Amino acid sequence: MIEYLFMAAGIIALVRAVIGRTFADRVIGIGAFVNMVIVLMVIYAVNTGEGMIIDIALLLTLLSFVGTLSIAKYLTPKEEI
Amino acid sequence: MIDLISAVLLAVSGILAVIGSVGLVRFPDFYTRTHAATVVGVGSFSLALLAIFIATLWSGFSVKILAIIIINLFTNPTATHAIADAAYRIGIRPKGLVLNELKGREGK
Repeated sequence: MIEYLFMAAGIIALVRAVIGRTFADRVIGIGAFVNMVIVLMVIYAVNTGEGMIIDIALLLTLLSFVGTLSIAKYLTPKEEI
Repeated sequence: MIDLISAVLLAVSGILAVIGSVGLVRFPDFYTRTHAATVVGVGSFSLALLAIFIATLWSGFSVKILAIIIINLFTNPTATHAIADAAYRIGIRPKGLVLNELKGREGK
């Protein structure tokens, strides 16, 4: 029942990623969407008892961080790094 | 008792997720949207996983869930700060800016 709230939050965050006007808005929207996906994956893993999905959620947390940092470094102008 | 605490934390977390996402769509410029994204990414995320951690306290899941909470508490504000810094350097400015104390000091 509560997971519909997280699903709705993820879809609304994805709306910002689709319409988002600047590049950084899309990155922020994708980040919020990935966070909601991680919460849903943990809820699914606890409900069904599959422990492997929590490992995937842990890796998705780290991968989201690395992806956001690489996009931030790509956005920064070259001479200022 | 543990079920009650877990249910209350999960309900607060779901409400925070919806509030943060609506703020992510409705706020006027990029720097206020980072605030709403942090409500989703730190507040809602940490409370939801803390509720699941309390509910599954003595099973094999709880250590990994605690690891996800601690890693996210370090990485999510760092990522948001990095993307806001990059957005300032490529020229995105707040809406209705009247005084810019960082003018001319972008590279430092």
